[in-house]
Amino acid sequence: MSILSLRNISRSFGSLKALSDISMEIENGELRALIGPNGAGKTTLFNLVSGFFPPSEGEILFEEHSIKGMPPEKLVQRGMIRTFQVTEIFNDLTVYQNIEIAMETALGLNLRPWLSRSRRREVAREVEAMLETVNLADQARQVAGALAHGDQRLVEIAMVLSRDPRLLLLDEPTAGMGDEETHRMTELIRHLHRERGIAMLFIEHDMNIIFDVADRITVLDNGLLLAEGTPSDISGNADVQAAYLGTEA
Amino acid sequence: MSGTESTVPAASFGATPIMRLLPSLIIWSLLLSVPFWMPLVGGYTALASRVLIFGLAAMGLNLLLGFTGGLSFGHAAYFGLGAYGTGLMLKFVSGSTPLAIVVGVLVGGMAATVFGLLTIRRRGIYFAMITIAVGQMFYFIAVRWNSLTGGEDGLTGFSRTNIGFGQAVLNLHHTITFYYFTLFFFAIGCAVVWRVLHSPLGHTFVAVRENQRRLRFLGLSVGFYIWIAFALSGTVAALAGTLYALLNNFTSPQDLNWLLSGDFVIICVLGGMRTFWGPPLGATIYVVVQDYLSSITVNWMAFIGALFVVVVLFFPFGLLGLLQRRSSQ
Amino acid sequence: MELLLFNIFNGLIVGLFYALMALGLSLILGLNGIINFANGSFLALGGYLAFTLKPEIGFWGALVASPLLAGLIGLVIERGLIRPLYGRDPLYSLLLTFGLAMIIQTMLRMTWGANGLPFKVPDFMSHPLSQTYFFLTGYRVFVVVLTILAAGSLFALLQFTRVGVRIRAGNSDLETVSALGINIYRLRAVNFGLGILMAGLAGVLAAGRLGLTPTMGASLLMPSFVAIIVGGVGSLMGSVLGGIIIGVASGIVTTYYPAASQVVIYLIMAVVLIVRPRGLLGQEGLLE
Repeated sequence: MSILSLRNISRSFGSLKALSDISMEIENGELRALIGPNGAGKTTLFNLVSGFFPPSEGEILFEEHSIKGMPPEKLVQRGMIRTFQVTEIFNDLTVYQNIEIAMETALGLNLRPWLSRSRRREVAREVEAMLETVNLADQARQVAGALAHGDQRLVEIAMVLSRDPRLLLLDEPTAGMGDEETHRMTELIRHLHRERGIAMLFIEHDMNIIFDVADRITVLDNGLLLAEGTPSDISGNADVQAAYLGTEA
Repeated sequence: MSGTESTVPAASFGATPIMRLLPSLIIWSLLLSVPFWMPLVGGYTALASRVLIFGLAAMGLNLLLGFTGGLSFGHAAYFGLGAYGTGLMLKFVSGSTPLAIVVGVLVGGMAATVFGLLTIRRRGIYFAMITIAVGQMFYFIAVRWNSLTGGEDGLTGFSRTNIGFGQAVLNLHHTITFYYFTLFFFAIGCAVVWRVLHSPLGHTFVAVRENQRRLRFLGLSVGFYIWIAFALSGTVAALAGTLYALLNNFTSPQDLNWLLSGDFVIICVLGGMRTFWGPPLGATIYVVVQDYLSSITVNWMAFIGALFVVVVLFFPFGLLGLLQRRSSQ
Repeated sequence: MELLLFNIFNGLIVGLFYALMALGLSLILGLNGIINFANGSFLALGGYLAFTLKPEIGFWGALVASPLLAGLIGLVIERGLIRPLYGRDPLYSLLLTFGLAMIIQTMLRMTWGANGLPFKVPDFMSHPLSQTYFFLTGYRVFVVVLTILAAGSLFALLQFTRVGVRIRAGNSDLETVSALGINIYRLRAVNFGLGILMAGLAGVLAAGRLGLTPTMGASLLMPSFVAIIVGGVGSLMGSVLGGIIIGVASGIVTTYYPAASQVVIYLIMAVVLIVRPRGLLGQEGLLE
């Protein structure tokens, strides 16, 4: 069963056509990379899928149900969540507090003016487990906005993971990271994929990572779907090489 | 410890319990002993009641302003509606002070709940403009509805009444007794705000202030929580307003005016918007300074205006904010 | 019927004062990103300056000179106090201009006194133009014409001059404008001065109609906010339209139920916010 289907999606801004006639299917538990040169329409596609704005034409299905025109908060409740190219976290709060808020939201506690002792313990346990998952336990008490770039990304990922998504959209998860941080991030992505079976769609520029972790790759160019296939299909594809890999390498 | 720790105090960490309780202990002992030391420093007890009332109103506002990040310039409306609700109740319906307080809180709180829905339709600077305008609407109603409110001259002809408990009587006409009466409600207000801030609800408010986009992309509708904060914050301000009517045995359209809303905002900023005790501290300074200035010059408003300018340009984080920053460096 | 017409026309005049004030507020709100609480005080300042200048340079001289002077004072204040606040939380500029309003208002009272002062307009304008429609005095017609002229020149300035085009561009996309090497600080200063100029002009005109008091601006300020909300934030045309609508509506209600003449303004605002939150001519998502 496919978790996400795009059927003939187009989106225009005024006279500018950012995406035309895109169709794609992502299977349950699949790790899909979305690549393409700058201005290819990758972020527009993310914004469409995550509910920022609706497509001008076409249909989007999440787990076989149409989600066209649904606001982001509804999509998150349904099990799809995203990160942003520029990390969106609570900068002035500590790492712990960032994740605590996400966890309380996931547990549906937002309206509670108090919690029982056992509930408080439950939240704390979950937060600490999440800190372990993303390897931030040591930085728990630091102010999130003051962390290294890569760690801020991990905070964001921890927050979205708290919602226990079945589909995760990652917008350039390793952009601006050093080798060590990049390695940690790819390990985390692999771990989440393998252990939790979360399907992921991620925008990425680093070809090593893409060929390393992705099950399949979708290539966009100029708002059009240029190619789609396994890493080996894509690396052998002449069109892709001409439009993208050739210029990039 | 980081400077922003107190914005969402997580139960799981902090300094030792004694160190965390110490400031509160000092504050409460100072407040409880006001009638004993106030005359020594040249003040009078009614002034202390005024400080508490303004502190409570500002603390209510700050739930929205400092913690949720909603720029309300119209909270005098809910304060004033609380005052009018209490005054009208005492004057026309029943002489019971507790009942008048309940009615005042309900009137102001309901208005905040209903008109909060209107203001949350926009964000940012636009939100501020709507809160100002909505607040001013109540001002004009109070001015024009002469037969009920006494118009420009204000509502007179009511006074707080004693409360009887069987044989015992709480003599509210006595200034010091009324101070403790006010302190009791101030404490209730503090407890409510403190409770909220240390709960998932308060955490959500702070999250609204910090990053609405992320909150939305965690699955929450942001406007709903701004509305809740608005309603809560207006209700606390209304409680302060009822006490103000009882303190003065009088209420006037000035208690609803945007100038008073501005006073509440500057009190929050002056004390430290992101701190729990900032608004009461700001109220202490502001009320005392205003009281002093207005006793020595008719042009006191120019000095208050200058205070606004100085705070904005030189103390944007407020006194407690400044302290926090110092200690975190 | 005459009473209704009388009140509508009166409402229109007051609405035009709202509109002029709202225009200035809107300009400053757009490019400078601040709600200028002191606009009302600048309006009063314009009126009082005209009162003092009139014996020296006559009504017409004062009509031109005092808005300019008010604008100049606005420029100085922008340079010294407002400029440090750009890019900071709008809370701070709100509070600062709030404080400024108090300071200026007190200074007006100290200089010219707390009591109202009359501001006489030239004799030939104070006579009714028609026997039946006694309220159509020359001055009122003059106010209408001059407001149209002022708003028209402002729109022409924004449409056809280089600085105007930049102000409009800056409204919609400040980053791009600064990337083009345009000095945003100077642009904002000019814009602030223009906004105050509008307030000053409204002040002179309002003085001739309503007389002078230190608080005259404060009482026009709130309806001007409403005019902006009704007309739509970000639309200058909307501000003018909003001002006229609430002025006239208030005039009509005065005829039938005078006590509600102010409250109706806020009712209109509430209806607009419920039915069309972005305002009559507003754009979505501006200044949020």
